[in-house]
Amino acid sequence: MDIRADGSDPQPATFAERGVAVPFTAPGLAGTRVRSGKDGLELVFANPSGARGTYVVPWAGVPDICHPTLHDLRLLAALQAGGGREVVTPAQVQAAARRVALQGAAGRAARAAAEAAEAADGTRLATTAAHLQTGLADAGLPPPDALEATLLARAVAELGIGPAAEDAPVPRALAALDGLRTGLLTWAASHPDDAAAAQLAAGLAMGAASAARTAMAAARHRNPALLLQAWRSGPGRVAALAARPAWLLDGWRLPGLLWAAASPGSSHALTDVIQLAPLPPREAQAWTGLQADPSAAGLLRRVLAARLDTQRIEGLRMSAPRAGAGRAGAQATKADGVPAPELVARNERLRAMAA
Amino acid sequence: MNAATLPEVQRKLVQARDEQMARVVALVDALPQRGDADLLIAPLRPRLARLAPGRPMTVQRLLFRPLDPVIVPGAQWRPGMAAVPRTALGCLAASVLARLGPAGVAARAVLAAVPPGPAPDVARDAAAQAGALLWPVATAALDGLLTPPDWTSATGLPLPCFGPVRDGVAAVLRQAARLAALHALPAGDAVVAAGVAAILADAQAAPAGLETLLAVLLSYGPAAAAVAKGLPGGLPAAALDAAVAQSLDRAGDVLMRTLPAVGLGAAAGHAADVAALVDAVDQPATRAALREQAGRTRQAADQACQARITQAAADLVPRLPEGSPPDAVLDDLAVDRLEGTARDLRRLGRAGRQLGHPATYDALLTQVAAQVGADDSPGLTRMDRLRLAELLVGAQAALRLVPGDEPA
Repeated sequence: MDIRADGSDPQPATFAERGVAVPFTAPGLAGTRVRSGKDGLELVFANPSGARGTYVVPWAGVPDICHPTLHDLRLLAALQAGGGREVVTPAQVQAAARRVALQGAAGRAARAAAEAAEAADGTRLATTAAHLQTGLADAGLPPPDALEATLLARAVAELGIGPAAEDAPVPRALAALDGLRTGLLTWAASHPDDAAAAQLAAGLAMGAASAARTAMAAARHRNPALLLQAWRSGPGRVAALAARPAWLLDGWRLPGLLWAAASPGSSHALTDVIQLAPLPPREAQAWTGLQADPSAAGLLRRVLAARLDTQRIEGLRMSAPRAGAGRAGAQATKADGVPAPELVARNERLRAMAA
Repeated sequence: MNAATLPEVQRKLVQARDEQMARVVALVDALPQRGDADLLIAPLRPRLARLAPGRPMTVQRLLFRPLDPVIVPGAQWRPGMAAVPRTALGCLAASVLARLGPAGVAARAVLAAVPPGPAPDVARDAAAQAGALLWPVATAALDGLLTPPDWTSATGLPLPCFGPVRDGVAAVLRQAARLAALHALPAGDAVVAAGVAAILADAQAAPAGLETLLAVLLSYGPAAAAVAKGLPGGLPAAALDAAVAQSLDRAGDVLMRTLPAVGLGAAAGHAADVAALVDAVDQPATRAALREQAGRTRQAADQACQARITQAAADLVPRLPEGSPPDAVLDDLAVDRLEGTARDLRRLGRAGRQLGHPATYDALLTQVAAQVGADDSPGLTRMDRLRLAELLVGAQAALRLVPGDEPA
């Protein structure tokens, strides 16, 4: 098996190169990203010590280095089904994860949550299509046929267009990210030892949210007539713009869930957030025009390494149980080859919370 | 209640149904002064451990909770033991509770604010918060406490036994907040070792009762190795050896009495603690007699784990409600319970692997997984069977054991 250490550049050039966060349930795979490689699907592991660089593992080699759950095996198979040579997108990962959850592979609670999310998506698609048709009719324009309205709605529905827009996936993810940022800042205000790290993480969350809002504003035409016009002149462009917020928010779900699960917060959960916080690739600046802090990657690494060292040597600051997604997660597979069942159960609960 | 009627009431209680017993225990828990009422529920403790009813936390129970692993029945306690006789708790509580002052009021308010019902995280946080208020004040109250006048009548122990018992209780309560924090950490974390070192370094400054504190630490698996290693400067060998020997004795008691009686999750926790203790003691640098004792405990624990797994495998049989059609599927709650049992079996198996031959436990769990994964398991979908088998033997092995095709 070929495991490559990739320490060349802490900040990938493109989103495709960075890969997409996947909601695996095995603790050893928490925070892992998937991307397409020349020989198929690849998994990108962050350096667990917080040091610079990543490890790249071909998907077929995953069972050799950790112990994926049944859910993870099915999810990997679903993602690999297309050959793994085309760019993997957040939407594809979300759809594959939904399919596997619907099979019950992450448990019945996750299956029920996936069923509810599937139904909500169907409703949203129908109301978005109806909203577009009504909007055009109100403007005195010939409405699109049902197929065109549905295709357009499918491209933009997750941005939240029309009634109940705030319930759509992107606005909900933004609200969750805002909640994480607020929680981190509140924690920073009352925990001086954690303040710098919490403020750093909050700053990264704010940067991601700002970028996603900028991208959403560019993609979400309030005026259905303008949206339809753009669609007719270039449907691919509309779909690509509409997909950008999900790329910009990708990877923030797990740290947000872990922080929420540790409500009102804990030092260990903060370490997990720092360890999992995604950095945007350079491509993000071209998409949004927002300047990313070039020192963020180095700062994040130093803060993480310092926190891991501190938690190793300090015995007295034992304030709360750590969620175990990051460092503990990576160590959680015992010698018997079965992932720690309690951590898998925790990850399945997180899956159910974010179907 | 007089001495003549007590055995009769105890006999009736032993025969009571689980829910009746739980009501009596709740009544006793609610008493401001438990006194003889504790004697009523003494014979019920093994059943209480198995049923684990959600008992409301009281100041008195919280006060001495850090000592739980070293509390022994009064009749079993002997001078020199790194343990606390249960009969002494009421006597000590009376003296300490009277001296809690505002801390006691604040702690009661914290505990009273916990909403009824299953919210273990809320209850745990409240207990930690209330405990942090109580334990330092209780420690100060115990330091220098004179022998209570009712000591001998309440405990049946001679007066000279009071000092060592008081010192042991105080030594543990002095470190109780740190002990609680230690338990909140994930096992195997380096912070546990650092935390143990900090506790021991601090405890050495006031060594009275050190053996009892060591015994409490040794009872918690993740801390056992760090205790056995001691401090760079060394712990008093006599205190450490005595605590280790008694902890191994107590482990034997846990294996004989507790493991078969408690729920599977608790059994897995106990087995893991015993395994860690035995591993910590069974080291080349350990005194030969202790290593031999650890070897015997290991053997007994190995057998107890195998027996408990065999006993628990019966709980993994799905049971449909009577009159269900043949193609009925278990509801989510029932499947959730089965998965919980499978997880606990896995944890127990993991402790067993540490104690005995891994292959023995792999074979045992594979047998259970094959049984639950079989086509004829009633009320389970193929995915239910796959997941149960996965929890026992891992995903790859489950796919080999459970018949049926995987989606492409």
